[in-house]
Order: sequence, then C-alpha cells, then structure tokens
Amino acid sequence: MANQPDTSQIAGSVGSDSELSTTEQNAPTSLRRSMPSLRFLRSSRINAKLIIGTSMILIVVLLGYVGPLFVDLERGEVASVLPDQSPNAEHWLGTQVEGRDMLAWLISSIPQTLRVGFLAGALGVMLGAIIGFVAGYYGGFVDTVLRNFTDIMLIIPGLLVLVVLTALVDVLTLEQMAIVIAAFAWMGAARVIRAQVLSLRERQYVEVAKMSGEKGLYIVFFELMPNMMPFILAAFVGAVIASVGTAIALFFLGLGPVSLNTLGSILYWAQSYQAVVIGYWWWWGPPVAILVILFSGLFIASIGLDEWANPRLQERS
Amino acid sequence: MTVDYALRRIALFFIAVLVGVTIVFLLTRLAPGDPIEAKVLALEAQAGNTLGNIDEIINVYRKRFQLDRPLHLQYLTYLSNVARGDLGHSLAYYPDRVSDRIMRAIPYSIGLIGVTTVLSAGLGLLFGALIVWRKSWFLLRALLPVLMVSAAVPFFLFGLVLQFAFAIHWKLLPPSHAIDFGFQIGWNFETLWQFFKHAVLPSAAIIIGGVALWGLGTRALMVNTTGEDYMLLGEAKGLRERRLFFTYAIRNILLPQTTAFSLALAAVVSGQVLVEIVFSYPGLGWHLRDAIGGSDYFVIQGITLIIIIAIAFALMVMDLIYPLIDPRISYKRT
Repeated sequence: MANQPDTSQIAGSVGSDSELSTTEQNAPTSLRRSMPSLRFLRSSRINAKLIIGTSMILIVVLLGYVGPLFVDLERGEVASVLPDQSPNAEHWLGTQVEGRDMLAWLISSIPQTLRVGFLAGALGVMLGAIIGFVAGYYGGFVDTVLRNFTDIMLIIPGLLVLVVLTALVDVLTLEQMAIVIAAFAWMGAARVIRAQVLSLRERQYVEVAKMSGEKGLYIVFFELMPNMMPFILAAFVGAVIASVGTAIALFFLGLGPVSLNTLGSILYWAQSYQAVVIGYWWWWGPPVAILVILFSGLFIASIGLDEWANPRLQERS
Repeated sequence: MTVDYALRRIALFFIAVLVGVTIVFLLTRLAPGDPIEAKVLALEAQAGNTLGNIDEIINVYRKRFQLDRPLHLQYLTYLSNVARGDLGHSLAYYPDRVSDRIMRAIPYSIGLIGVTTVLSAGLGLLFGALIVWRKSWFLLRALLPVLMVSAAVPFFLFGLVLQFAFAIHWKLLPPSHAIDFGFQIGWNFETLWQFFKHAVLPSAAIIIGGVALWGLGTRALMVNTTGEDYMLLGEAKGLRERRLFFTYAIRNILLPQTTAFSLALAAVVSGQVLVEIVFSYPGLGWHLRDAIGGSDYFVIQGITLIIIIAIAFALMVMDLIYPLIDPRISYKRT
C-alpha cells in the first residue's frame, strides 16, 4: 500500500463522532416491523464530487474493457513489434526495448489491476463490516479486544508484511493475492462501521425489533445494515484505494504473479530497464497518468460518498 | 492517573510489536516454499552442479537457521532473538548480519522521513488552513483540487515524474543514489552539498503527497474552526489577522491533525520505501528491493520487523508526549 489516504480522517474524522445523522431519529414507533430502508438511494443532493470521481474511474474502466475492441492486444507481447520506437502513427504510445507495443500492453494491464483492487476492496470491506458490527453491537469485552486489534493492525504496514509473504510464495494467483491484500485493508471500514453501529443501536427502531423478539443477527442485517449502506460504500471505496495501492506496490517490487500484465508490472519493467534514465517517457508516463486518474477518481468519489453519508461534512461556508 | 496511562500505553506498544512479529513469523513459517532449499539450489546452479551432496548441505543450513525444530520452539527462539536484536544472517551476503545491513540503511531512511514529515506538516497545515481562510489570495483558494489529486496518488509515481523532469530532462539534480559514485565523504561543505543535492528529489516526491494529506485534513477541521465562537470573539476584540490565524485557528487544529498523521504513519512509511527504490536511495526501502531481488529472506523479514517496531515506538512516544503539548488532555480513565 503505497500511501493509503484514510478518507474518514481527511473528510473530518467520521469514526470518532458518535452522534452523526440525527435525521434518522424519527424511526417508526409502531410495533409494525419496519422494512429495510433504502432511503440512501433517494438522496436528493447531487454530489458533484461523486460524479466527477465516478467519471474518472469510468474513463479508466472503459479504456481497459472497451479498448481491446480497437487495439490488437497481441502486440503487447514480447517481441511482437519493432522495439525502441518513440510514439508514431503506427504505435501511438511507442514501443519499448523488448518489442512490446505500449498501447496494447497498457490496455491489457488495466483489467487485471482493477480486478485485484476491487476484489480485495470488496473482501476487505466485508471483513471490516463484520468486525465493526460485532464490536459495535456486542460491546463490552468483545469490543475492547476487536477495537485494540483494529488499532494495532492499523499501525502495521501491510505492504511490508505482504512483501514478506509474496517473496516466499511466487505461485500466487490474482485471486489469492486479492485475499491476502484484503487481510490488511479492512481496518478503516471496521472503525467507521463500529462507530456507526454504536450510534444506531440505541435507536428506537432497534428497540422495537428487540421487543418484538428478533434475534441479534436479524437486527444487524435487516435493521442496521440498510441504514449503513452509505458508510459501507464509502468504506468500500477507501478499501479499494488501499488495495489498488498495495497491489501496484507489490507488482512494482517485482512480486506476485510476474507473468500477469498489470500497471504495476509495467512500472517494474520500466524500473528494471531504467526507462526513466534512458528517456523512454512513453514507457512509464502513460501508466503513471492512468494511475493518477484512477487514484484521484477513487479518492474524490470517496470524499463525495463521505459527504453524502454524513451531510454535516458538507461545507459550512 | 498519568502513570497508569503511560503504563497502559507502553503495554500496548509491546502487544503491537508482538502481534506484528507473530504475523511475520507465521507467514514465513507456514507459507509453502523453503527459503533455504531455494537458496542452496540457486547456489548450486551458479556453481554448475558441483556442490556434491545437496541434501546434506540443506540440512546443515536448516540446523544453522534452526528450521528443523518444532514450530512452537522456533517461535520462542524467534521471539527471544528479535528481543535481543538478533535478526539472523543475510543469505545473500553471508556472513553479514541482518542487523548490520539495517544499521547501514537506517540513517538515510530516518533522515528522509524526519525532514519530509516536518516539512509536510508545516506546509500542509499552512496550505490547508489558508484554503479556508477567507482573506486568502484567490488562487490559493483554488488549490483544493490539486491537493485532492496529490493526496490520492502513491508517492513513488510523483517520484518517477520528478526524476524524469529534474534529473533527466533538465539535468538540474542527480537522478539517484545518496552521493556521487566515488565521492570521498568528509567533514566538509562539499559532502553536505552532495547529501542535500541527492535528497532533494526523493524528499520532494514524499512532500507533495504529504502536504496534500495534511492539507486536506487541516482544511476539513478549519471549516469547522472558523465557525467557532472563540474565533468570532477574537475577531470582535479586533485581534490582528495573524494572531487569529496562528494562535486561534492553527493551534487548535494541530493536535487532531497529529492524531490523523499517526494513523497514516504506516502508509507514509510504505510510500517512502517505494520512493527510495525509484531513486536508488540507500535506505531501508532500497535494501528491501535488493533483498527481494536476491531472495534474501532474513533481510526482508528483518527490515519489515524493524519498520513495524519503529512505527509502534514512534506512535507510543507521540502518545506519551501529547499531554505535554496539549494542556486540554488529561488522562482520566473513561
């Protein structure tokens, strides 16, 4: 994980504020079981940050998934084109020293990069949600242990621990890699969700559910979860940022499945062949540009989601 | 009460280190693959299959590194070794000790992170607060999108761009290493200049991201702070702008921002590791890359452990000095 910006901290420490959305206070008072609320879908505010961020992510996704329709990806293989050409009409992004067409190589790398990032992010947020829910809902000793464990995991640099693992095991698949990355990408989600559960579990509708004899797990999944969707979404994007960062870093270090094309491994080869020093800007420049668009898009979208989840974060001035 | 807090905080430090060491131990021992075997086979391939009885050599190595004992005994030995600072020997540079290699790298890494943290914090607080301050220059207030983009992007990507622009294209600064090749280090101005010149680009790569992280956090807090009553009172009293800004606004933001930074410290250190690799800057990150290239597992492990311990230690020290820098904190048990 390269630098993984903890958006909950940046957007104004969501985690520590235990009395957030006061609008949720008007819960149904009748004993009728309340339906899982999908209120989060009906938010009227159109959030500019969310739209801008999502569009930037979409640009990268389109390039990776629609690009192959227009570009012959086989030209991205080693020794398939004339090496050492600067960008020209035939090769829009030039070719590198092993005879790979940069545009084709770049496009074929995007889907793998996205897949490992989003898979690890999804697994990470699931793990974080479970830990956050359990800690927040049961409280007491369980909470103390889980909270301290989360804080400890937060200060352990996951990237380095993963380096130790991936340096030993060089037969990891992309999916296995996503799983181990997720093991270090859940802490942000756990913190945010625990804080939310703490503030939600005393609400009247939870009391109502308890009084009507619902079990703990039912309450967690059908009463609390729907109200937390915006927070879970924001935590998901945060986990994706961390996971993509970690994956890129591992590939850049030459670890993980080396035969796979990812944006990180393009940069690894660029570093190995000293592409910056020999002046092949078309080798390292485009992957850097795509990563900048991707990371910025994810980050801006996550700030947008945070503001959407927690309207108090919106500008006061 | 304060002693109680300090003791609990110190205990937490040891638990954190223990968790980190245990994770690293379990990963290396339970993962499939055998570093010793891989190493010996590689040596044999180098020597052209003339080493003789491979199995015997592997067994000797295993005994030497105590890999032939039961797992729980290995774990206890491992813990006591780490506690004594004995991280074993480098496989690639045998008989070099891992701790020697780490000690050689540490001054560079500490120097880099020290300088970049101070500069990122200072500039980040200033920019972040000025973006919200309504009397700021309008262009400064338009910096927000720039901060957002730079906060999201991993440091080493800036590193690649800076290296190309300033070292290769304009040839203003050296592209890599901590000193020029063959330069004689001495106590003189030239040496200082060498170190400074080579550290500028790696530092800049980290500072761009660091300023953005500090800046965005500060901005979020500043939005709230400017609405506080004490700010209004200060203004009504006719305090000078500068006093209002630094003593009233910034001072109150400093502490929560320090807390936010301590949460991000692990990520910042990981980012620096990659920047050192881009610039071949001979700190821990560059040694890590070297060890990965040479399958030098004990060095990889040692560097990871040292960084885990260093981060946990830094955070403990920060927590312990909070009450000294902020009088509002009193450590009552909640």
